[in-house]
Amino acid sequence: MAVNKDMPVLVVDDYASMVRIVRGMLNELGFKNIDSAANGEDAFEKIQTTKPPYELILSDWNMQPVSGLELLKKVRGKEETVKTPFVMVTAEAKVENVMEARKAGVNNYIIKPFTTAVLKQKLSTVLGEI
Amino acid sequence: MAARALAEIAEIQTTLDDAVDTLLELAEAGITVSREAPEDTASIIRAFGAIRDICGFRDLAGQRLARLAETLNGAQDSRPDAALLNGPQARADAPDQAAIDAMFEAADPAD
Repeated sequence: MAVNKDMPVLVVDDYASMVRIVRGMLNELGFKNIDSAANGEDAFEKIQTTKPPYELILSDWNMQPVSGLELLKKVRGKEETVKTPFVMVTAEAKVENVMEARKAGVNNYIIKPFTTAVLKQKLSTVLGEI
Repeated sequence: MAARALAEIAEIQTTLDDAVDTLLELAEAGITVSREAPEDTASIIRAFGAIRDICGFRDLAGQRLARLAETLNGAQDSRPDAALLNGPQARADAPDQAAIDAMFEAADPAD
């Protein structure tokens, strides 16, 4: 089944230029409904209040005051978002980080820096062929 | 502390050098295709897209600079998840995306 590229997507990163880059990549892949948040706290607020709900979350890890990992755990702790596809996009490449995120329920893990082709490949794994 | 700061500076330098090299190559490729095949808009858009993608280097350099500043200030991170906030690793130690994918796929989430 084709991926619905009108799905609401949330990009979370505390570095505004990175949000702009990821937004541009998603646009290039055909996604049209992209929102953003500057940290895990703002993101969780948006996730709880935005309707229709986000169908994909792409989050950085290293953010203040709520990190991407903490955001992931909060998202997985709520019944409404327990299955929402969540992709970590981060420079945190240590084995323990990957394992921790995996254990917390992340759907995929992209290491910065990355290209649109890598994003496409990872999103295809999570959502289906893009 | 000085050794850690110097290592961080070296990594920042490498990140910037690599990014500039790549940006130059991509810009030159874009100029070439624009000059020689201006009707090939798909290739021109691809060249611009690749230039956009590489701009993520500034995020990594920024994280390294923040860590350098913390090192020079002797700051201690007291966050509960501080042990998992490593930031970008040294080039020599950093697993690539393929290694992460293998790690990710091999891991049982229940472990």
